[in-house]
Amino acid sequence: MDRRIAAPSSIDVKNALERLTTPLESTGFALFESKQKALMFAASLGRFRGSREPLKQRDTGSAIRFEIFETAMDDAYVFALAIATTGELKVLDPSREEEVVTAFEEYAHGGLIEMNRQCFESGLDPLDALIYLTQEVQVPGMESIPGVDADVLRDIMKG
Amino acid sequence: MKLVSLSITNFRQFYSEQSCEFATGSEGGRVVTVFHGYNGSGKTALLNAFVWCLYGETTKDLEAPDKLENEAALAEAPVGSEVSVSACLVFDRPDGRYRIRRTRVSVKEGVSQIRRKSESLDLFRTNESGEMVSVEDTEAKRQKRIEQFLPRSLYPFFFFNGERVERIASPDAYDSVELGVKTLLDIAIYERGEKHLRTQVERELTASLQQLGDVELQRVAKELEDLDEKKEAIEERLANHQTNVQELGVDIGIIEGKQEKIQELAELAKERERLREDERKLGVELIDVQKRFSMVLSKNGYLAFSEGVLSETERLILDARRRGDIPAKIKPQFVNDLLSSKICICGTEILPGTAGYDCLVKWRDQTGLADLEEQLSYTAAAVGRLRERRNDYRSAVEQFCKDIDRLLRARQAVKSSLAVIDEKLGDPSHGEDAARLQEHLRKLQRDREQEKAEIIVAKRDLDANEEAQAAVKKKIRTLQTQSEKGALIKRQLEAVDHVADAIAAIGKLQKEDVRRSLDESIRLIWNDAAIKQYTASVTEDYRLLLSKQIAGNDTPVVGASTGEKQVLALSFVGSLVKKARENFGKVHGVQVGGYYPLVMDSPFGSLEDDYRAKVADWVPRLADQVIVLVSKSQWRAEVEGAMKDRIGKEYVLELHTSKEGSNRDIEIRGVKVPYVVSENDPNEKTIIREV
Repeated sequence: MDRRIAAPSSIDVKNALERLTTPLESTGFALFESKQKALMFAASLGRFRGSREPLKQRDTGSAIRFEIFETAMDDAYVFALAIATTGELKVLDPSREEEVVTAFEEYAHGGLIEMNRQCFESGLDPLDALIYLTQEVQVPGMESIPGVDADVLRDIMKG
Repeated sequence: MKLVSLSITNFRQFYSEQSCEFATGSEGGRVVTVFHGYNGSGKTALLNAFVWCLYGETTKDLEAPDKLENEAALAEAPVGSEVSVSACLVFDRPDGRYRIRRTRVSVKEGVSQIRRKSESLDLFRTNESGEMVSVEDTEAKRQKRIEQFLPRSLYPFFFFNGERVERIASPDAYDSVELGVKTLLDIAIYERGEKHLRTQVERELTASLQQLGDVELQRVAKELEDLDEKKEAIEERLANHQTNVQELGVDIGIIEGKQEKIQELAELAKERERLREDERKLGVELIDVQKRFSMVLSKNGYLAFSEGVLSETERLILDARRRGDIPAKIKPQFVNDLLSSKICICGTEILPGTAGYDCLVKWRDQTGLADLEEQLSYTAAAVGRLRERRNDYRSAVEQFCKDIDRLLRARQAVKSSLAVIDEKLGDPSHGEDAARLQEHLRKLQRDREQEKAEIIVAKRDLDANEEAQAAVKKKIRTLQTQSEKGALIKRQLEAVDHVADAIAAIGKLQKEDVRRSLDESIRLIWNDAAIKQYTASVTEDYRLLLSKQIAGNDTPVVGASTGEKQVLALSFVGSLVKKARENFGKVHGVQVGGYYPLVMDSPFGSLEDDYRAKVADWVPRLADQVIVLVSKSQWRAEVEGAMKDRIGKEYVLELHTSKEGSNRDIEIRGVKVPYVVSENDPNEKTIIREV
């Protein structure tokens, strides 16, 4: 794939991406090894939450070459995300590259907004916040237990 | 700055006037001056004579810092008369010889009562023609001048107690390490330049903008001015809290040192140290577990959300297979080849316009997913691998939760034990002193926590201020102005901002360059001195760090000994003065770098023989001038052996005591000289004698 993958250029999201990949003062290490890794998490979270946010402007200056996704063996997930989003296998046709990239970037945008909120605005430890996000998924049918408020259950699971 | 001589009069143990000269390296590289002194003879007092003379204050480990007057001089003086204490330090700088004299005059009001009357500071310089002139017209200006030679905040790097030098390697000292590096190695000049542009110059331009007629522009310019003032106040607040944390750290160290010396508390204090070490180790382990987990989260965490996407992809691919779309029964390339060769595999000619040709074109258009077959089978195969990675992530989360739970419980247990020890240390059954010390310690610790919290708040305020300033500046750029002058000022403001950015960027590069060079130097020195396979480094945030290799990774050393930390701190001080000397010279007419002396009280106190010999060997090689204050037990054969060829001056602090039978000699270079002298005088005193 020739197209590079970019993050949104809005200040808040850009800052969040920067903070997610910069060593934290408290621990001395970064939450994500690279921007590519942080975007993977964001896109997957965005898709899971159904939060797809169009980009007003792409941060093309720091866009990531697709080979980086290939080397990290994450390229198949970018394809799968596009297939699941469009419901079409043909989306992988080279003529529809734009659609694959846009789906990924827009879900990543939605995911980054949520990651920023959870990691840097909730008062939680950022690593804990990320773990809680991934733990949400591991409770099958959480929303549908009769007589239990889903939010309360989520809080219990988190605690 | 090269120290030439010191004269002290009635300063602490030193009765009347006592003088000494220092080795300056003029005779065959002999840069070391040694003072031998019995316990209580005044080694710490002598170190403090330098500090008091330069800054009018004393180091924290000097007991009763208010009482500088010598006891004998005080006893001799009639009630109502004046007693004066003074110190006169002579040193050379590239622009001439300087003489500082500080004098404190007190009035004796009772047998042991004095009232301070005055304190004065003189500063003279001998110019090229040999004439001595007074420097500056007020004491405040003289003091300021002295602090330009050697900033007050930096003297702990040059005048220090070797038994406490490891403080430089403690977390509370990172800021002073950074400050030391910046000041001595001339990086601060960039920060001053940037600050000047961002405050004064910008402020003047903003003020001019406010004079103009544009109402909105005036309002925004005023907003910027207010933010700037607030920033200055926050920076001052931050600096104060940082200084307080450092000073409280020193005070805490002193109180804990006193507790260690009280017999009943010594064991408890040791236990406290052991528990703190456990707590530190658990802290390091906790971070290590988090770090290892975060690598897994970074790599595979996204797959926690992947099931929906993966199963949907899998379903679509499976459907296509069921429908027979993949694998394709006929490859589009094969059909294309037939069409271009115009001959069928049975040998029949296929010409455009014929039924056969049209049939083949139809086949080609129906190949559907055949083009994507490779990519789809790659994706389908990857789904399984991605699920495996997701399961790895889940196992890692499970293990991580278990590890964290274990470590947090262990840390809680250590904290509880520490609380019990703290209670015991303050138990009144150990005596009033013990209870008071512990109470004082608790207060200092509480204060330090409070100060640390204030630092976090101030840093946050500073970030918020910076963001607000950036937003206002952006607004100024977008606001239209009617007048030509307004447009000009706006352009100037923008230019100032760019220049300030550039200076900051150069400063940052320079700082990193210096850090790297110090890092290299400290690494070499440490490698030479240390017997363990540790690596010493100066980290990017100016921490002095010892690390070791574990499974191919650099891991911080947990529980380095006091001696190791002291060697690390000494390596750093050594590297710093070495680098400052290398930088010495004039750059664009500005004097940079310089020569700095090291005055060390008991530098070999807690070190093992190996370390003593090494430190004694490399300190005089790194520094331009070394003054060492030692007791007999610290001046061992290996130290003397390493230093003997570099000693230019040697003195004994001859202690005179009233206790009978206390006479002791010390052997220096094979000659016995008096060390402690018993005499019939109730007042103890010390005389400086050259050997």
